[in-house]
Amino acid sequence: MRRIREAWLGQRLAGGLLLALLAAPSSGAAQASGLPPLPIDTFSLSNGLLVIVSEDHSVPVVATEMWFEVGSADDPPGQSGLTQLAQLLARAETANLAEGEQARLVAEAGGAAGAFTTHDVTGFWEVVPSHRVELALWLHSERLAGVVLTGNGLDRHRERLTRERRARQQGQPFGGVQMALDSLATDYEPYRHPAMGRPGELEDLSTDRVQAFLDRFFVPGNAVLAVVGDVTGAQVRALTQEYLGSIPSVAPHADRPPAPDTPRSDGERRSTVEDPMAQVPVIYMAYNIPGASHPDVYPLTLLSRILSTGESSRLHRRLVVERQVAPVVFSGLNTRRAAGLFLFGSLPNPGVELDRIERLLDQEIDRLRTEGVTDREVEKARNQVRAAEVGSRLSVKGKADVLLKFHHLYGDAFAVNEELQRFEAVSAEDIVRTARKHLARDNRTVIVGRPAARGAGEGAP
Amino acid sequence: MIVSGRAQGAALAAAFCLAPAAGAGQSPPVPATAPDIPFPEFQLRELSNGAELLVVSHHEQPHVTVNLVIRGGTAADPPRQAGLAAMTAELLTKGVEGQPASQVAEDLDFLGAQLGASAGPDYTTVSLSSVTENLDAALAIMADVVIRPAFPADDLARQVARARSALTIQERAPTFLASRAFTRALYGEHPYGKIQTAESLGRIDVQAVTRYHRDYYRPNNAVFVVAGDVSADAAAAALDGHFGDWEAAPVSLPTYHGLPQRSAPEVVLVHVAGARDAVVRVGQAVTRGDDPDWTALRVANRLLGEGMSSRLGTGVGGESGIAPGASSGVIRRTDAGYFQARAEVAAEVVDAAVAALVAEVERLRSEAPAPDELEAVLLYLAGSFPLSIETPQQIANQVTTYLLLGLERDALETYRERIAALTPDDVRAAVEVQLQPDRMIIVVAGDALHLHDRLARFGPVTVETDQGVQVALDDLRPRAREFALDGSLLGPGSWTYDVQAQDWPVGELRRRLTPGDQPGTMTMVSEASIGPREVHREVTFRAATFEAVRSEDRLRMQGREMVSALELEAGQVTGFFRGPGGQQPVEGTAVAGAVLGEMTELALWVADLEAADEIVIPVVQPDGSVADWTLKMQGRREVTVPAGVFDTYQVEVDGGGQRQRVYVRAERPRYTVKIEVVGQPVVTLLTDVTEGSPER
Repeated sequence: MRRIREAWLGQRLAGGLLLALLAAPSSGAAQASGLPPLPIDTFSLSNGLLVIVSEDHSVPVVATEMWFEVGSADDPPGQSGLTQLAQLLARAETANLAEGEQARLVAEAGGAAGAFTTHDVTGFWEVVPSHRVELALWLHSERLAGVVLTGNGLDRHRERLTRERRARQQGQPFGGVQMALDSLATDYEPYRHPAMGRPGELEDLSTDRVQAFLDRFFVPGNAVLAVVGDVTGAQVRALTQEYLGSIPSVAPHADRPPAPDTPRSDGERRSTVEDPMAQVPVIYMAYNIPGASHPDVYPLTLLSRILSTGESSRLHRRLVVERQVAPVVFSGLNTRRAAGLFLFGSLPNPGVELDRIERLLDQEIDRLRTEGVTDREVEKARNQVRAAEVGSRLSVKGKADVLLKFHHLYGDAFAVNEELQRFEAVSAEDIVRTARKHLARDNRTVIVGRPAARGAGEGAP
Repeated sequence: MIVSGRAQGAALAAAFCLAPAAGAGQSPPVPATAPDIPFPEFQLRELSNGAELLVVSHHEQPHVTVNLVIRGGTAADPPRQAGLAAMTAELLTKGVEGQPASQVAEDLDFLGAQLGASAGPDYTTVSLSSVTENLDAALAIMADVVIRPAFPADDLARQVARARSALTIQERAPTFLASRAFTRALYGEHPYGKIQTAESLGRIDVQAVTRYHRDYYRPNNAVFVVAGDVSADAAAAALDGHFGDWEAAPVSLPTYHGLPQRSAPEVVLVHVAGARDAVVRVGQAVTRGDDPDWTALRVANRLLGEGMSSRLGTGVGGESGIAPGASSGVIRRTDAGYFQARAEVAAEVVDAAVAALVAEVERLRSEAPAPDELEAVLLYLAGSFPLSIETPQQIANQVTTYLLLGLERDALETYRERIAALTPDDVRAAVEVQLQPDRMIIVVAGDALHLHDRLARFGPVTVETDQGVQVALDDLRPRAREFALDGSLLGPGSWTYDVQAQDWPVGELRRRLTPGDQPGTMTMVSEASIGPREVHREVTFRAATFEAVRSEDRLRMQGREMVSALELEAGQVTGFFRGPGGQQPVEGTAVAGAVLGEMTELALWVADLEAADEIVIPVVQPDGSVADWTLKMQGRREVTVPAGVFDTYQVEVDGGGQRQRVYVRAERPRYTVKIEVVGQPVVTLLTDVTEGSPER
């Protein structure tokens, strides 16, 4: 069972949806009974770069992670994928380093590094032994001071992006299904394309265009740096000033359309996607929910846990154990700043029709409206949120992620230590109320993925 | 947006005390002196029930993990019940004697704790993670499942069914097939060579699971590894309390023998019909886990194929090299571990890739690494130490490995010193003992018909199916058509079909059968427009003999076009394939009676469907190769379509990567009445028929 579930989860991962789910408690909980508060210190450099420091001297390592407030939602119309391309180039071509050297320097220092682009943000991180923290900050300065584009690198990374997109969309089961879900579910245009972009939109891109995009968004005033681990605040102040303080900034000017006031409610949308990689069909349902900082997100987070976390959860009991129609069922929040999704997904056991799974999911959602949830279920969900929050703080990288997320979503890293009241305040009634409000047919999208014929047989059926 | 007062205050304070900027330099900062970091503290105890206890205390977060490591693992599976250790572990957490089946899950979920178990080759590990305040309650559940598991029969049946269906899915992946064949060939009758199959899983019953649990899940055969926010004293007291009634009993662990001895390389080729790529695994068994050579072996492997700056990562594995993405690994086990180099390459270069991997191993044996190359690896291995001890769980895992291999505590604490002391010749000497290219096994998963001859030079080649059954290469070749088909039974006509998905019209298919350009030939033209796809297929054949002449298939979708054009003459296939990536010529050799394009369906219109249960037809693929399509008779059915009610033969057509159910009119002249795509809600229904030469 666990292997199947892991394999299945693995299949979903690359589509990006689950990343958000795994990061779920997008609003983590500290508990009255005592999550130790994270020590936090913040300051800004004169060029506008905000720095968040959290000391942890229990281990000889440091995480340095920088988020830029630019994501695929900021891709210019007709040039989807540009943000992700810019991110790849920032790790490849800088003033003093050739391609591959960032990775080599980190590896030689005994560290680890990575980068990512979501709808909302782009991040770069290193974890290094604490005596190499200067190297990590210098690498951030390389990227921040400017990418030096060569046409060659642009071509190669554009190709790489195309290859990776193809691999994700076509090279793994349900890749295309997830992309279809994202574009169909929401009407908020910036979120309708995948971070890797739609095919073919970057082909006529010039070096100048990419350079202008980098110069506009990948600047100190648009960035936040978290430094977590075996360093002192004083050290970080001196070192960030030395390595990052003299990089000039221009004010970034993002021009995303404003977030919708309320999620769409113009009727259910359905689509079927044929997937040549899939062995079995799959069903996804997405209900539109408000942006991550909306108060309803707290009850919805607990609701998702009541529905699908653990083998005693409602959906697992009903679909997997009692009715035995599915090997796995999940729900979760894809929390984004402007507008989120409450997702359900499952795939059938052999011989089971997807309709049956959909009916059972609907029945469980209806049951929420009519029967509500018990106080014990709410307490259980709170316990789980809290355990997950502790789990996310076990590494310095995990803590850096949490701090940056709170800064990004609430404008305040300190909010990480004040979350417990928000979950404590949620009642069983709140959960039912938000379920009624947001898990409504007329704001949902249902996508079915079906195994399709492979290879040359494409054509006449 | 909430901006906290503290954040603003801090920002303001920082703005006032800015020092003049020094500026970042143009080269990476010189490393500060590496501090001397000792291996973190850990404590070893013995519990009152006889189990060993290892504790790594770390109080940074209120979190504890408890791993219970039980010796035995899959190596202790009875050969006919391979998968038993894994199934026992899987079922362990499903319930406790005398409790309702759902109680364990409910209690764990309420605590927000995670409990799971899994089996590896040498050990089964039961893992618990919990916040500190719930540790005691979570340990009580863990003790219940370990000492008094229920092993319900219906859960077992469900798990077995799942494991078997997972296996079916895995068996479609060439990487899985290559790894499994590698394990089988490498270990043979050795306990590490046990392979789960649908049959071995099917033989696992509740008695077997109960017996495995009784034989191996004993405190005297177990190590508790506790890491996190708890002291050694508190951990020992809690475990003594919860596991006090766990009874010791003599345990007989598997004996390790039966490793195949080789003196020459062997090649195992797993046939994946139609695969264009080859998954390559080259390797051999290496020494036991407690051998001092392991230090040098790890260094050698890092040098060779671990990471982007390794030799495989930059050389053969470089972006433009023969085997991009090639890597290597060494697996350490209680008994013999193994070395394995991996690559996935296009079938055409499989021989060059294998030769390159073998040559890299040869070079590692014959040449000591350059001092600076070795230095970089040693720096990495020493430098990454801080990251390897970041979480208490990581520390505990390292100690556990050493403990279970029977190594001294000292070996762990002196690891970095021993690494640093290695000379280039130490590394070469260890490789010379451990890796011998003349004992390598070379396992490749791919299309055996394309790959066989390219691999023959490396050693005797054994070909096997995806089920691990040995086959002769000739049995995989497409067979010549062994029966005659009479194309003159076909007469001119035109047919129109509706295409529906989930009962919704999505397109139309029109077919036209007319005399061909040359005397004695006929041409079938199919034009379909289905959603965004437009398909034009055309095939010409000799009517009397049903011999293919040429075909052209065009698929147009969203402004892109793919074209496959093939001609067949005297057994020679020529033509081209044109897609978004450009045009490629196609050449091949076809067996007698091979057909092109939609002739597979026309064959149903002329074949004697009463006489045969199954017809196998060789079909030329777009790449010029030939594969067998199978047509299976499934009886007569009455079918209603817009064109009327028809008495039909139902035939399942399996080929070209898809399965279709075709309903062919039983009376002559025959034609297709309905097509279903198996596993998809797509049907094609006849709406109109015109017999005789249609108006053009």
